[in-house]
Amino acid sequence: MSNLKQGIQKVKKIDYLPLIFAYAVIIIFFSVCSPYFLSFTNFMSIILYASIVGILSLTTCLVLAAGQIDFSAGSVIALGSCVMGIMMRGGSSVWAAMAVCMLISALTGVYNGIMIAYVGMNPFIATLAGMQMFRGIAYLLTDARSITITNNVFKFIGRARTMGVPNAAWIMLLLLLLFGIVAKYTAFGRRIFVIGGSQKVAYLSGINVKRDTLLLFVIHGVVTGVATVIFTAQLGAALPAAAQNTNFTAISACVLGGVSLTGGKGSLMGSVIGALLLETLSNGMNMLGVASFWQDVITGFVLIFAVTLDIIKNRRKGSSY
Amino acid sequence: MLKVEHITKIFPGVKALDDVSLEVRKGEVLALLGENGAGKSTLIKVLSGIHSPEEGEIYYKGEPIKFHGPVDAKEAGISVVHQELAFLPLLSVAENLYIRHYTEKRHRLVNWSEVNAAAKEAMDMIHLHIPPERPVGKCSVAECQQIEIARAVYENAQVLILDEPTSALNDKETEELMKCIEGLREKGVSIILITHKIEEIMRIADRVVVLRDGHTVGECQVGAVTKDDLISMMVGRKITDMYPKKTNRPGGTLLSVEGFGTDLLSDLHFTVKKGEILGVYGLMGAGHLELGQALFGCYSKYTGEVRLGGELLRLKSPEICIRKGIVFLPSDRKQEGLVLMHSVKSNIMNLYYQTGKNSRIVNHKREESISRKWMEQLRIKTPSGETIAESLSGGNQQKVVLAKCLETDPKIIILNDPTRGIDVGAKAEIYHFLNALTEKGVSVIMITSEMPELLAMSDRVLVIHEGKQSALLEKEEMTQTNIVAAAISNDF
Ligand SMILES: Nc1ncnc2c1ncn2[C@@H]1O[C@H](COP(=O)(O)OP(=O)(O)OP(=O)(O)O)[C@@H](O)[C@H]1O
Ligand SMILES: [Mg+2]
Repeated sequence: MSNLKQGIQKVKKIDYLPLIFAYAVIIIFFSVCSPYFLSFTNFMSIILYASIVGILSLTTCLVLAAGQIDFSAGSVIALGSCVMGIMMRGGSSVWAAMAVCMLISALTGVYNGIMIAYVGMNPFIATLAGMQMFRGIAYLLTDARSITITNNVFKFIGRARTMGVPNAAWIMLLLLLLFGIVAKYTAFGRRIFVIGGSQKVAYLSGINVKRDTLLLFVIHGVVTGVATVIFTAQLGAALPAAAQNTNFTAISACVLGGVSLTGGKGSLMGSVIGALLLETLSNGMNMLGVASFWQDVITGFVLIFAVTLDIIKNRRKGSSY
Repeated sequence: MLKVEHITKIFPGVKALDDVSLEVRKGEVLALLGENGAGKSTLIKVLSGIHSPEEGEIYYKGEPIKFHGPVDAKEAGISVVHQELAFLPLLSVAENLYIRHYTEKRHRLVNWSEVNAAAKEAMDMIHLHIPPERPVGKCSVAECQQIEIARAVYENAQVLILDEPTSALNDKETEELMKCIEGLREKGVSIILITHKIEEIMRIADRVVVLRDGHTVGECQVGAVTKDDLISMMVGRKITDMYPKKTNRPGGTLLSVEGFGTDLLSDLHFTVKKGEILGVYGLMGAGHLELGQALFGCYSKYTGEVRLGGELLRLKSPEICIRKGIVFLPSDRKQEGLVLMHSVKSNIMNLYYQTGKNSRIVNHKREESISRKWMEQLRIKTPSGETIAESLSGGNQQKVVLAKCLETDPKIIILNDPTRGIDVGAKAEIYHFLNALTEKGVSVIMITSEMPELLAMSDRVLVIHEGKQSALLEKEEMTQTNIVAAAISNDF
């Protein structure tokens, strides 16, 4: 009996509880509306497409938890993707192309990190500028044209499955596990949350706020690189105009997962579930033939709805302010 | 004037107030006394419309009344100085004083000379002199506290509620406030004063109500009781030695400071011996507060030399200092000491991984046992280690900050108002604790605005005046007169 109570207490404490509730409602709704929705195959296709945003949302969540924000990731994906396309068109190996993509992504992280932590620029401005510059470079490099890529390694990463589950999804799960451990079991992970909670307190607690912030952005860059490879592999092409929304979808996913935009709080698991929810929503709406403009409206509404639930849940806990 | 009956307020896990009744009459100073977490601030928040109670009635001027928010209470003529100060750090002192007028209709346009003049007038009422244009973020805790008092006094309230208004003030500033309170009482204002300083109650209050664990445990006229009566009523036992005698003799020099200076300090020469408590005193703005921060590496530009056990230190950042075994307890627990949204446990562990001595892999069992240890040792009153720091009472928050400093096992601990807002019982415990630390050879630099604490606990006292060292007093010379004399003039 007391075990059951404790169990309930524990479940109640999960930050992304409203999200799971919202997700359940969505799944039930689409299952009722479409006979094709509720199947293993469909769910695997959802998870395949969700993996890019899912991966990106992991470090986006940490960046937000650190009290920062990044708007440049979408452009970084486009840039990395175009560079890979150009290299492979010119005959380089897929491995070299992927390595360079990772390097470039890491460098964009260095740029964001230095601007924000060392120069002291507002993250909103620094990454907004980054967003425009990186996208611009992608256009310059490709002359605004797309490049088709056919490659077996990419096919393996983008489309193939292991034990029935898409490889991209495996990568996402692996990274979720990795960052779950970083966030919960390493001093670095814990410091990120303290910095997000209050930079002043963090500084007076002997935390090197600048170095940790830079490191976090570099890690975020590398993870964006991983997302870029999967994105390019799935698309089979490099487009300078690609991934316009990916960044914002990732932020939405994190917000759905209960991250605090002022920092100090965030759940990786919640963010990934958030990414899955958003993909499920678009998958279901496609199945029902909802027009794309309506899809945008509905996605926006779901975001507001889930966040409102969260606010209500928090309000009940505390005082009136 | 203002009366509450059978108030009960429940938070998750705690019954903060349990059937409390209380009344304050016109032109009376009522003191509220009670241990940390007794429910004093909660009662105030109920009175001022921030919390709505589960049960009970509030009567104002004889009529039952319901406040739906702090604005309601303010409009009815109840002004509050809260324990945890809330300011807009980037706005000027004047604007912070004036801000409530921004909600009035006739003030669609801002008249800056009027704003500054009003601010000056408000500050004059308690003899406070801060340039009205200065951003609040640049003011010390004591200054903020006074600004808040000025604001409340200026609002012309009929009921003025002060929640630990003097916790960061020195004797002189406290005296100004006391005079101001007396003036208001004569004008017929009702005042509720919460404080842990019993002397203030004896000095000014007409009546005392004592709270313990959310209950009223006593009520009496101030003239009819002694200090000791009040203390034992409040903690439920007698406190024999408030300031325990230090028994150890300080050893050799541990920290030596030579020609030390920052932009606000200059030419300081002193040493701290192993196992010594060095008291530091100064009047507002003297630079004594900066000294604590500077020795903790917060000013990367400094002159002079600081040696720890003979080794020259680079005081470039707190990170470096913590690794060398120096920790600092900031005076502003809300802004500098705690991540309010994080749990008590996580706050206690904040410094742990920066000492360079401990593993960087987080072991949640170990965190659990460390935080439990401190919660027991310092008697931190909280439902559990998972409770968020924000929901703790002020004094208990202070204990959490102390715990996180002590957990690093430091060689030198710099304390900035260590017992700010801590009740008498817990204070005595902390003093015992500090003494036990010095027995183990830990040195303490204690910057404090509290004279009794300074006199009783320090082995020597360093007095700072206008950024310069005006005296370094040995035990025999340490008297209140000497210290104050040194604090107001350099040629002591
Ligand atoms: N917002 C809140 N949420 C949950 N618990 C709270 C909240 N505010 C106060 N409490 C709890 O209510 C109890 C009374 O707190 P309160 O702040 O009234 O104490 P206090 O008498 O003012 O103590 P102190 O002398 O330390 O300021 C404490 O146990 C505290 O943890
Ligand atoms: Mg209080």
